[in-house]
Amino acid sequence: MKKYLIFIFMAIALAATASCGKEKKDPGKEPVPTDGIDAEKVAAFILLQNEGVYDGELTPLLLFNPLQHELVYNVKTSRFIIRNDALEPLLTVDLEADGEDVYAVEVNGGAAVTSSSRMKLVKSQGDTAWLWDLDNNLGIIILKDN
Amino acid sequence: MKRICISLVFLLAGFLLAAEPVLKPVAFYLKNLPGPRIGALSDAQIKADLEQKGFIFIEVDCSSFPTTSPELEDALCNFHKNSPSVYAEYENDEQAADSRSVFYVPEGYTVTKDIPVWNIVDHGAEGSVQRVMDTWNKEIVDIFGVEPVTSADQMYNQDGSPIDWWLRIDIIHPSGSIAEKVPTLLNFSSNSPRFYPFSPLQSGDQILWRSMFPFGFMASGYAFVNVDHCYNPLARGETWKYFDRYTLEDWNGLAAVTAYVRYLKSHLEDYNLNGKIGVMGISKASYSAVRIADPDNANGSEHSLFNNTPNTKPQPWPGVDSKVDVAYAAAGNGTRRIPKYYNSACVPIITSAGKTDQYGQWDAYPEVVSHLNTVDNVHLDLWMEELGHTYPGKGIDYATGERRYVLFKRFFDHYLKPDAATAADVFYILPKEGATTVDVMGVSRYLPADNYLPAAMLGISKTAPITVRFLDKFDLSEISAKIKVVESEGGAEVEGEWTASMKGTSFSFTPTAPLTKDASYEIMVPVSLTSIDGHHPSAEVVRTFVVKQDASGGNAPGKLSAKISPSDDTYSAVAKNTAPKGEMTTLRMRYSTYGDWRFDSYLKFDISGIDTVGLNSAKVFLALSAAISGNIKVNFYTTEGEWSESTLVSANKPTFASAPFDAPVATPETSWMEVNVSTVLRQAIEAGKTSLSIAGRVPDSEDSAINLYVYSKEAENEELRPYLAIYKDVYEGPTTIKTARSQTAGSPVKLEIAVAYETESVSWYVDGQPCGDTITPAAGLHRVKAVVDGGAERGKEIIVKYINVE
Repeated sequence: MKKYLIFIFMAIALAATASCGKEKKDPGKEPVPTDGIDAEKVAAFILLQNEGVYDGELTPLLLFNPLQHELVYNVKTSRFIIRNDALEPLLTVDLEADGEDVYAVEVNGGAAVTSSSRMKLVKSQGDTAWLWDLDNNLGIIILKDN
Repeated sequence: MKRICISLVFLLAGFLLAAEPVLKPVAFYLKNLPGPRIGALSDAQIKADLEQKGFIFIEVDCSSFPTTSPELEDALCNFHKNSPSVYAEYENDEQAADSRSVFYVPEGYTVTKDIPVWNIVDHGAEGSVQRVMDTWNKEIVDIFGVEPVTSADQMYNQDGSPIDWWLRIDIIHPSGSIAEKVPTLLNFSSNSPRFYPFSPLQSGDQILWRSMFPFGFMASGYAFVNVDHCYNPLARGETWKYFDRYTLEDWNGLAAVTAYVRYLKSHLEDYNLNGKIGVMGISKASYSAVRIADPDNANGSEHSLFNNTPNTKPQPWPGVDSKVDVAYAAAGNGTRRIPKYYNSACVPIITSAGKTDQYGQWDAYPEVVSHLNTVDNVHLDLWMEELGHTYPGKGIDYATGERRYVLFKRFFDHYLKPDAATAADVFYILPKEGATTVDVMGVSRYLPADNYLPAAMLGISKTAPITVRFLDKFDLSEISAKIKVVESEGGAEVEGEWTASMKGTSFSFTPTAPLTKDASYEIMVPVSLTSIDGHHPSAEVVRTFVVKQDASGGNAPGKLSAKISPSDDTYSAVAKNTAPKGEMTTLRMRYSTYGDWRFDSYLKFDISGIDTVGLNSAKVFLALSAAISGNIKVNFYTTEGEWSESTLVSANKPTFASAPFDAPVATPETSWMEVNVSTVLRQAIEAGKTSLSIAGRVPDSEDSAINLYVYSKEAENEELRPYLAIYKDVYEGPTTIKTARSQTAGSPVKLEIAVAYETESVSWYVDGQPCGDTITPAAGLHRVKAVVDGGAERGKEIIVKYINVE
């Protein structure tokens, strides 16, 4: 049932404390529009396999490196993390779900800093989810519960 | 008229049985034991003496038996097991062997049997004979259909013979008169006839192997004394065999046991004894062992008094002391009374308990050990996880890895043969040989596995630090200076601190910094070590151990996770209370011999929202509402059965568990009493219960003049109401896969994870397939996924890490 979660917080952090202390914003729980998605771009996005953040041109902003990083997803808190072997988080994504609609409040990390994003779950396969940030034109591939 | 009839029946029976063989005790005379022959009389003189005393005399050639202990004792036990077939060959039309009275007599020894030492009528407290008569009139009359009596001399044994009011003893001792006297092992018998506990017909090896003790001690130059329990004489096995009110021990036990010791000390020359006495008693005999262990036993009081009046009758064998040197007590009222009677001035003591003891002594053992730990006198505790209601004759002690009997024998020898001790050898070392549970602080598992242990351990640690224990006393400075803990590789010394306990005989070591996991260390005890008496170990001792685990942890108090108020709390008198007291603002606990003045308190908590993940500990806090004049202990039990504070009275009070799970002591300085409910809460949660119900009861050992009042949930001041505090482990670090990223192809890889709580369960997947926590992957990059169930508090967590196998 986790695929129905709506993700509230999304934070990208290069430093462990980058998102700490920042006030989470209310996403408003408005339905995520299904129009406006660039179908071609999304079709290309969901072919990508590597967890991380991609910009509107599908250029990687921060990618999971299997020889250096660890993926973590906490089902209770809906928090996704990519961290290095020193356990420093490189990407922290706090999420909340409401049906199939996805919301993100804040994105901060890598080359992208955004907040209060509305997102669409565009693909779910095994323990991986593909999210498209409608407001900021970002793609995020995360670990999830299957 | 009745007595005449009985006499006629007796005479008739005697006439009819005249042709029956005479039942005789057996004396196996042990020739050619490995030790020196002790005793002045010749074998022929001893044989004649024993046959004159009515024994069937059987000579046993022990020259083919092992010459070392405990192998010799084992061989003798095996002989004993098969002995009925041996003495059967001596039975004929004239004599039959009494299998309940089988004696073993080392070469040179003899037996003096049935010595009268203490008499219930002459020496017993006023009221003793009346209690026996009361037993007759209330119990024997109903069960056996005999006539009531109005005087003591009207009572008789079931075979018509007169009541024997004497308590008697048997002594197996060196014969004649010898110059070098011997120490004594004094056994308090737990049955009758008094040698029946050592009968070869006792069932099962663990019972038969009790005989290790008389065999081993006599074979090494001790006299063996076996004495009667302080029976209600109607209850002896050879009389009415009525067992309910079997004892007079509570009123006369101390008088009797001190008389036994005085008798021996008054007859040292007669029996070639040197006055050194070690005592042992299990079951109903344990009380004697515990009371005599106090050097001040001559000034003690009986456990109970008839009409609150002490015994003022002159006691036999005056003029000598009744002190002993070492004691063993187990599995009876006596051991349960150790918290009341055993103190720091008492002689060193061994106790034991068997898990399958049918009288629940295993569950009662933590309270005994907890008290002994608190007193910190010299003690040895034997947790016999595979034995029952018996002596520690068989088996290996889990804690030390040593044979229990050997530990026992060394312990007693030390205190009974002090002149023979020329070396101050190590008694045992922890970690034990081959220990697999040593953590980075040197701490290793000390008690058997949790599933063997009693539910309520009362805070007794199941692990122990690095420990070197002796029987001799040492200065801490000597230990600190000379015993080393070193790395096996390179020999670097581990820095740390030694601490002493058990009156300078046991020493524990705590390293300053954690040891290295998987590294090997050595504990080195040199021969240069010098005891306070100037003795040295006979040889250097080195114990090697390997660190196998991270810190055991679990001792931190954790973080307060929840405070839960009782759903119900009340108190009640044990008897005759018909008015529920749930609305009272205080709870009351008090001991009294009268049920209507003995008060227990009950508390119930809703635990439906609590889980065990990360559960570190839990306590119930009770605020005292009135000052108390002295210390008072309260035993806390779980209860079974539904109850509510609005209806609980004496008649419907819930049932207590068989043993308390905690026994906190309130002092005049106590403001809050803390009850450790960690174990019982965990058990309740795991059993699916939604409430935790406990009861506080002041045990018999406490002063009945002290009432303990604590605030109830109805107390006006909310801050002083009872509550259940739940503590969970504090874990700041992330959940992470610890397995190294780089691995070698073909080698097993242990998948390890750092989790918040030890109780969190982990499922492993490699390349999408479920697996165990050890894999042997092929070369290449592998996706390892751990799914951790962190319970309600942390939730489910998924971690992915790739390992690169080359």
